[in-house]
Amino acid sequence: MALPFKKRVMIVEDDQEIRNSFSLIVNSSQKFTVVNAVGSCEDAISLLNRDKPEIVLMDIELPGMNGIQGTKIIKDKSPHTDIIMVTVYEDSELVFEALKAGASGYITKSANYMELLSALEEIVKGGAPMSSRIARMVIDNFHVNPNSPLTKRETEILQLISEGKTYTQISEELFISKETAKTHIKNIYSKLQVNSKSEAIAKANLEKLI
Amino acid sequence: MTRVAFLVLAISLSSTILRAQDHFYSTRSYTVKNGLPQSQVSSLLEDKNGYLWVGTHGGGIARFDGRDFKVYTTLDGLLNNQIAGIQMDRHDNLWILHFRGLTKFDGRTFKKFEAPQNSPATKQMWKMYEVGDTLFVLSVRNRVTKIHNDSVYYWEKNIEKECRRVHIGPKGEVCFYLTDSTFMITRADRTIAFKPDIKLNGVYNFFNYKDEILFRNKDGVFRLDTDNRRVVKKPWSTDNFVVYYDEKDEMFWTANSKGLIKENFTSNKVKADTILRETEVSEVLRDSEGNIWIATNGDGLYKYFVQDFRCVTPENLRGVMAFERDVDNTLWVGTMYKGLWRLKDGKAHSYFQEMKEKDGGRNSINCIRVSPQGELWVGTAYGLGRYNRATDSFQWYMPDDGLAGATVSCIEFDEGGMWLGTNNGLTFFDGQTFKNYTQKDGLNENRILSLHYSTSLKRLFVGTATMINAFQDGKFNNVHVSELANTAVLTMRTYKNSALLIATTGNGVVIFDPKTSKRKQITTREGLASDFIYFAGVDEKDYLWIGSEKGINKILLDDNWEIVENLHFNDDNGLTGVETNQNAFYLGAKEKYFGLVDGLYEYNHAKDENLTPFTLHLSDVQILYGEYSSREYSDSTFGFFRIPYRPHLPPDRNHITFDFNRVDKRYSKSVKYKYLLDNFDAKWSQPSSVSSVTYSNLPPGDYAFRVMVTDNKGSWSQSKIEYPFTIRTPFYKTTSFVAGMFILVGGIVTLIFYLRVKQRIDRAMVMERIRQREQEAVRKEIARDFHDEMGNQLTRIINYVSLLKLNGSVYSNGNGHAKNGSHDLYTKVEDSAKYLYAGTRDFIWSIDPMNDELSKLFLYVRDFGEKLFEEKGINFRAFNEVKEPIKLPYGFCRQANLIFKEAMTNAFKYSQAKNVSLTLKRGDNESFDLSLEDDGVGFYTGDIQKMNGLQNIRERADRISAVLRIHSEKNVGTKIILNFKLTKSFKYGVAF
Repeated sequence: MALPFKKRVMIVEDDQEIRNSFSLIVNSSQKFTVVNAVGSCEDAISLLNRDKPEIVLMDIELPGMNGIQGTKIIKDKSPHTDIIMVTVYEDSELVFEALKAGASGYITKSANYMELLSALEEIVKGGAPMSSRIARMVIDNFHVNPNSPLTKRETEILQLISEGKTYTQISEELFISKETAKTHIKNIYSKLQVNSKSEAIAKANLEKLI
Repeated sequence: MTRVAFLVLAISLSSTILRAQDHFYSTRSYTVKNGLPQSQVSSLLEDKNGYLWVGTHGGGIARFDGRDFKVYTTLDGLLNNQIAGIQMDRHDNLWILHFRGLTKFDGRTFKKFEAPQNSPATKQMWKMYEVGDTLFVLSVRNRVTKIHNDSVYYWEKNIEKECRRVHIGPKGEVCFYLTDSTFMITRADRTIAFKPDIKLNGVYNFFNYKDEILFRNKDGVFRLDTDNRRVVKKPWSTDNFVVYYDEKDEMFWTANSKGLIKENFTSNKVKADTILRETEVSEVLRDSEGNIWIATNGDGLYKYFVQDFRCVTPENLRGVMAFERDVDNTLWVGTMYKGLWRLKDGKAHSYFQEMKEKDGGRNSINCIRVSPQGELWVGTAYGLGRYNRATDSFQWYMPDDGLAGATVSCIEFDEGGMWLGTNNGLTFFDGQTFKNYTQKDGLNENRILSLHYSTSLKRLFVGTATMINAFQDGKFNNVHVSELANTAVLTMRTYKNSALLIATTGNGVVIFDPKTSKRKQITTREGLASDFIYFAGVDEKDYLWIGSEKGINKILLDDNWEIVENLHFNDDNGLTGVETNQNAFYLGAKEKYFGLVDGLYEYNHAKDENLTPFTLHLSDVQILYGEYSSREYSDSTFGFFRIPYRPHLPPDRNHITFDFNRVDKRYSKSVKYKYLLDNFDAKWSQPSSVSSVTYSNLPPGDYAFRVMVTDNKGSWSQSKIEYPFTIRTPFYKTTSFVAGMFILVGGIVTLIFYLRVKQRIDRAMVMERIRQREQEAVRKEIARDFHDEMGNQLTRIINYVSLLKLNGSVYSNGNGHAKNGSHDLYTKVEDSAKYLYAGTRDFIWSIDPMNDELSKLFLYVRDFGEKLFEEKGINFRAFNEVKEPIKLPYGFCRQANLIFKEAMTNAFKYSQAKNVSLTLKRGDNESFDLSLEDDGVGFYTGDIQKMNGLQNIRERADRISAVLRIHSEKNVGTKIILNFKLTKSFKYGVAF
């Protein structure tokens, strides 16, 4: 029974066992309820209007449409839905592609039920920790864009992460708390979604220049 | 050279050649038998090289070099074979006048100038002369032709006054006598014309006398006085027509109805010799060598010249075998069958009849000698005669009187008496008794051919048919001279004190010094006329006179017995009989006599003039016997024969014939040549009279062809040829080409080698890339499979445990702990699964080839540390000082990652540190240091052996050939440093 204040969660996972276990774990929380658990993106998209999930836990490797393509469609159809990627390890290029497609963060599959739920909460509140590799990809992605949507601070943080600095070092160097740093990362994740638009602007500007 | 044109002058008499009063003068005839193209000779000219050009009335023109006539006719390029005159212009072109035109010959080519057929005056041209650079030709009927620079300005231009006579004066001026009695004298700078103030009855002929121009008419001889423009009558002694005045001999060559006469009437004593009779003389020319050449119309060409020899005996005195000059200047001549003759005061007396009764044996004279005591001895085929001057009779000695043999072949005297060579041994006669020596006494043979007593060696040399015996102190010894092998010794004389000059029958002349054994052989190879020598004597100037069947050689040797002069005399020089004899020569200081088969000859001592010989010159340079022109390969030519100057011949034009010559119209047969081709011949050729040589297949290079020639004294002349030429190197043999080819071939070989190596490298690189790609593909596939399978399975386990824990928590006390303790077990399963999950993740990460890079390793380790240390609030810092990408070998990442995970886990669990730092920087010697440092409690490093974890990381470090250093200090901290060196790998079989 879903309570009205619980966040509506949809699980997209092709492995039925994991899907069921994720459903049980999420449903065990007071803050989340699984509105549906499906085995493919196609099913998820078809049920989107009916179930209206607020959060989608999305596996990347899926039969048929993969998680990244699914994320893009879901975000198009339901922009306010937060999509969280579930991945075996977090610094994969697929994760970055998913972030670009509109995912709000990612969690690893190794998380136990406590970690999973706290991660869900944290992601809803802020971003997932960013690996150096993802940071470097983000920088590369925005670097080509003269009209980068990133703020100066966000760019600094990204730069430091890509250089291999730890959150401790970042907070020391920028005189901010680790939490603040993480908030910046959440913003960075969300800004990744405007990437395609800004690229179009950049291209237009560039052509105008020509 | 002086030239006199002699108008047609018929002299009718016999054609007998008379012997002049001056006995050494002689006349020689050249007819068609000798190579003259025709017996009607019209004109003569001697050119700078000495060639005599002979124009004929139908046989063309001939060039005579003393030996042969080279004939040019219309086939060679002449306009016409009828020659009216010859003229050499100042550019060495020969102009040949025909009756209807001219031919110019430049030594190589003929150029014709033919008078127009329809010319108004078609009559013949008869006179050519040169004024300045212009050539004029006179035709009959007052026509003149002018040629300048090879252009005909006019043909047969009419001139107002008819020209009767034309004459070239002693200074080259042209003198005309015109029909109105005007004389016109033209020089290059001016022309004088005047009419004489006296009445002249025509002009018969002009001639030059010293530097005057004289002419004759029926009133006498007149002189042209051009300065005063008048003619002056000159007193004159002869009525004959003067053909030519020989200024050198002060002789007038004149002609009358009786013949061609040589006259000298300038001195008080008038002297006249008739040279030719019944001969039509057209021109007389004295050449530079003193020969007078007489062109006749019908009898060919005559040479009138001073001879080197004259015959002094009557025609019936023939076969001169022996000669001696008596103390009272009586000449004794012994003949082969005509007995002994005595010549005294121009009278010849024969003893033939007196000796006839002895079967003619005593009329066969072998030798005549006058003893040191003045007694005349005669050796005959039948006894030895001793002449009694008082009774003009002979006392005869025969074998019965003590002679070894009846035939006495030679007589010699020593201090003690007389030696006689006979047909049966050697006889010594001391005036009283005879003593004989034969083979029994040591002679090698009884037939003695020659004897010679050397006063310096006090030794008698006895020549036989096979060798020389030396007699001294009563003993005979053989003289061993290898050059004398198997030849008879006909004469021996002493040469320069002690050497023997030996005449051999077949081996030439041998000079042998018994004291020093020095020897020298002179044969035809050294320039003798023959190797069959009848006599060899030495005169007062050490000249060797060597007689053979081919005449006489007069040779001078230097101190090393090398020939420096060699003149050959034969019938060309007056020795009509040519063949000499053994004992018939006399070499006095003032008189020299030689007995030949046709009489006794006297040598002309007075003849020795110092005439400059003509120079040696090349007459042609031919390529492949004239198939190609050598002049095409030179920029310029030189000389009359237009010899190409320094030709550069192509490599395939290397068959070259050189023709060279020194004209000698006197001793033509004595001219000898030696040649040498620098850079090809090792030494000079043997002297030879051949004046041509061919070199074939000459290799490329620079050459100089050199020729030496003998002069008119028979010595090697200063006149030499040095003719440089070059055979070009074919392009494929040039140094630059060879070097270029070498470089090219070297380059190609290097290129081929390079390309092969590059191909191998490329192939190896392609293989390596394929291998790497395959490896990477495999690694990626493994990684993906692990990701999918392992990841999902582990996720399931963790989720199951989570669910179990969730279910368990229903019964728990609310804080997550199961009552029965099974919750701890769940946690352990979960931790193990997580550990396995993490390990799998590390493995998957490290197996991905994308991560084989140092900075990625660093970030990976850092990310691990970041998460780990955050759990306990430990401040973790990471420092990377290596910015550039460094490729890592496969497997390195995994080991290094595990080392640092172990180290970080240890620090996390046991160090109680507040700060941990990870640092990557460069170490010594291109190595790298990856280190982890904490400020924890530290540990005793001596216990490392006991700590499994640290032992593991040591082993891992060893696997990747890295050095692991651990520093730990109690309450200060621990530092673990991994030092590793990424050495260059050896790939593709080539070191990089």
